[in-house]
Amino acid sequence: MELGNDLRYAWRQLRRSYGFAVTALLTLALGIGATTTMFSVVDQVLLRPLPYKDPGQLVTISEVEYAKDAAKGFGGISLPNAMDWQTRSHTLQGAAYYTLMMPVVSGISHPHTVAQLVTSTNFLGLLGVQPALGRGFIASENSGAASHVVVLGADAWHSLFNGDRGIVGHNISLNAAPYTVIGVMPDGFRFQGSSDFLFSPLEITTKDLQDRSSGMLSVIGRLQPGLTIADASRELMGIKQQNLKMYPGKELDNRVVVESYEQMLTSSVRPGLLALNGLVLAVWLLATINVAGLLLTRTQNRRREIAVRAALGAGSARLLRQFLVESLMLSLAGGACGLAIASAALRVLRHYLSSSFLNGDLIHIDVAVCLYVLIASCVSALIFGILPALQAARLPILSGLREGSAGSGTSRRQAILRDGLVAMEIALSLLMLSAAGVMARTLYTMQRTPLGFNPENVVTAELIMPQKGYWFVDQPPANKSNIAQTFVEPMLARIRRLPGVASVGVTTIRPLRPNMSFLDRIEFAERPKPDPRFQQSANLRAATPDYFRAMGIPLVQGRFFNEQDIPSASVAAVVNEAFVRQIVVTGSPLGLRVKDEDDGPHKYATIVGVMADARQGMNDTVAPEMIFNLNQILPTDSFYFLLNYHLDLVVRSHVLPGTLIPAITRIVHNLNPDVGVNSAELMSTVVDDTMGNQTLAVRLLSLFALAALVIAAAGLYGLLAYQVAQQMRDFGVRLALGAQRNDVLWLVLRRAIVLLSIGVALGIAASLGLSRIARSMLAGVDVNNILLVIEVVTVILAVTCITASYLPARRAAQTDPMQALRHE
Amino acid sequence: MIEIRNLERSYKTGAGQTWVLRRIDLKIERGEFVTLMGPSGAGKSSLLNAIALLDDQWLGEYYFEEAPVHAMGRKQRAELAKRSMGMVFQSYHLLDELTVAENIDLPLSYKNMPRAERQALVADTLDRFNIVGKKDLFPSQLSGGQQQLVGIARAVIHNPALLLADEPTGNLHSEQAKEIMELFKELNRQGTTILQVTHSETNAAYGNRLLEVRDGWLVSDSANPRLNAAQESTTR
Repeated sequence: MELGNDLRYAWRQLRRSYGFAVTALLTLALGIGATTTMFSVVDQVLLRPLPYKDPGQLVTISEVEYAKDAAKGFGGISLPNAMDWQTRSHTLQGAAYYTLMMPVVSGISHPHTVAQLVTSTNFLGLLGVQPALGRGFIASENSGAASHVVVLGADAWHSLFNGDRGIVGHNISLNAAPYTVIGVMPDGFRFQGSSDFLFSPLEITTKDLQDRSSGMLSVIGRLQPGLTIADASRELMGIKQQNLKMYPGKELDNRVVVESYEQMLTSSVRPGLLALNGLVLAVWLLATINVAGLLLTRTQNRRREIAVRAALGAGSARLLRQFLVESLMLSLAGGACGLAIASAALRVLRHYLSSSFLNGDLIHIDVAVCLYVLIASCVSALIFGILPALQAARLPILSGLREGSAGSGTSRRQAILRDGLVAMEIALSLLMLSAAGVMARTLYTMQRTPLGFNPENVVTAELIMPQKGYWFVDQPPANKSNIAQTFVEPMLARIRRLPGVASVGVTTIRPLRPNMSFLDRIEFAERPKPDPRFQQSANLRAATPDYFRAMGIPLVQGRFFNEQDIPSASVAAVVNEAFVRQIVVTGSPLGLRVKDEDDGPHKYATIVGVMADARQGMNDTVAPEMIFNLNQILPTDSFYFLLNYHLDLVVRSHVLPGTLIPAITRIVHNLNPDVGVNSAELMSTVVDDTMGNQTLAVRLLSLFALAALVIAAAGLYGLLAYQVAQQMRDFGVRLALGAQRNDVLWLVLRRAIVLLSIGVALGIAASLGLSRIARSMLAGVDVNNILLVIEVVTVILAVTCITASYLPARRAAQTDPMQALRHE
Repeated sequence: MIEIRNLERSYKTGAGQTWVLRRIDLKIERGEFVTLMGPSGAGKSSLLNAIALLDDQWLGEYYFEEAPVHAMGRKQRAELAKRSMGMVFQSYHLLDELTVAENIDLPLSYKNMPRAERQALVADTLDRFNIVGKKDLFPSQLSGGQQQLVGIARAVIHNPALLLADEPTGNLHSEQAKEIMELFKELNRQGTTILQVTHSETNAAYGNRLLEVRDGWLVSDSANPRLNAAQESTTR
């Protein structure tokens, strides 16, 4: 019952002290909001158990060359090795393997590629999950036509078949081959952050069973209960040693690496996330300490009230409870505002979180996050409430009852502690502002770096050519029709006729596709054969003549492709400036002939032009690139495979380019319904998304840095307000003795400036130290301008802190000497 | 009711020890209306605070209704004060954020008393002090006299045996002061023992016993002519 009185009284107190309530609430909301945002991310990305049975038992097994670092060199596993582990390991309950394919699903309204996980038949069983509809694979479904069955992931089921519950038993077409749908996975099931998968059993052939030297499978195992990763590593290495003796010359002498599957999934983001989380927790802690400071000030101002209550019979426990109730009310209100801040922050960052983290699309405010806020609020209330509450409970009654009594003050140790905390807040704030500044600067630099092409008014789409069987199984040339003539040319002709289209072209790999490349060593006909150890490689691509105009890539030297480049002539090639700098080095590149493996008319490709360096990725420097004339490549050429699987369509238009996408998709499917049209989007969006990680980092850091800045300012304000309240009589005496108001103002500001200077010095040292680490660890982060960033950040910090200090300083300067002295 | 023997109080200062109360011997019987007078700094408030148990740093013996307060722990003393004493302050010390009714209820809220019983007591007290119409007002909406009326109501709501008042009319003009003193007189008539500190001869006249403190010593007591005689001989 008394709790109700305490709550009512607490509410009146807060309403009455509006300035204090708003400052404390804002500080808490920022602290709790920042930590809640980070918790939402950390919880979803690092803490949630994988949706499998006993996920802690799951391990990944890979092979790396002894010379390579395990973290960098990931090797695919050959089928015989994977099957050896399945049958011969005793430390594992089982092992399953999988590889990723990108077949075109046809027979639906818009054929396009989907991710197909081709697995061992025990794959789903090993994870401990079963389809929600239909069934999983059976052991015999690993050969011939029996392997043409498919289980749909939940997202694939919804996107391809609108969640049709009658889909089980129906046939679908993958790369023009019929597959029967046998099951649908449950909604919550994801593999590596996605449920937009089709699962099919791997078809095992006799040839695959004998090939130990080439591997492209990934393997997951499940440890026997009670056994460790080290046990499994030892055993699998033993099997490797036996195989080396049994299959000399065939078995690769690699190291077998066993890792926790959960940790492998998050290993790349874990250190960064935890570091950021640590910083944010520090911000939160400082926020709560700040509020404790503000409350201490208030407790001093409420000495009379406390003394009256004590004089009327309130015991220490009762006073403690009342003050804690007030703190809790404040903290819960701060928590509610913090939750709103976190929710808004996650909404703003949603796009970037989805693309940066596994399961990033699932990050949202849920019960766990609300519970976290509740706990964070209660812990905050305890941290900032207990000290002022104890102080209140111990205040001597008599001095409190004395009219206008001066506070008892703080001990020297307490004063140093509070000064130190404020200096630390300023330092942390400067550090976070610097980090945000460096990231913003990096983003700015990236945005300003010439792309080497013009993304404005360009729409691009990925075209996946239909395959028979797995894409890596090459078809004999006799079975191939020339894609350039049968598909590319008619498609370009039709798109060119669309209203508003300025130019249209096709390339095998467009700019900003850093994960796709085909490297080959370059050998010139006119130059001596280079030492293989020093022979340089270039990215090989093919493009139609209009591609350069459509993508807006400037010509630097020579010419682009034209009508002279007929299939029977030597293949024309355009190289980029990096190719000239790094591979040609001396002399004119024009006319140089690059050796092909063929002996026919295309034994050599001739360089006819040099184009500007179009960026292949945002963080990388541009690598040498050689682009062949796609129209000249014949199915018999060794480079034909470049256009056999994947093409990028590039359309430049005078109208809104996005409006062309449906028409382009229609044209492609009219020509060949089995061609997959993926990721049809604006090139400008591709540019933005390529900078997604940097944008996320800038936004997250800016958000937290802003919180740290406000908290530091509030801390300084709280400290000075407290001291001014303590020293009112002193100021009154000084003014009565002839001090000018500016003298008093300066007296308070001087203290602020000293603390600011210490904090800034510490912050600069920390920023410079961290920038050295960042320079070595974070590729692409521009830390060269750190001094400029620090200068700007220091000015922002100084202006904010001096403004925050001015308010209590002005109050001190406005002290009425008569009033201050009357209190004595 | 109260018996004090050899009570002393001092403060440590930079120059040594400053004595504010010296060897006080005092007896107050139930039903008395005692006035404590003396110049500023004489030790009046110190003695009042010691008797009110707001200060517990004194030396000597203090019996309250024969119970040895000097032998009690801090908690027992607080319990005794809560149960048997009421305090009226010169500057009222009403809590600004509480209404009149809530201020009056405050001492009861620190006792384990059922809510209904408390509400009834508050209603009775409001009625008794004729301030029912002001029960929902806040202190800032009352005059000084009205505030002190509420302060007294708050001090007596739990029917204390002893009412202590430190310059209760110090901040009031004479008309308001007279009303308050009449109220004290009435409370005393109803059986409440009162000890007041005042500078005012007029207020002192309402009491039936006068004590005088000077430099920490109890120098005169209208109920103890021997003390007066002893003091006179010391002075001579």
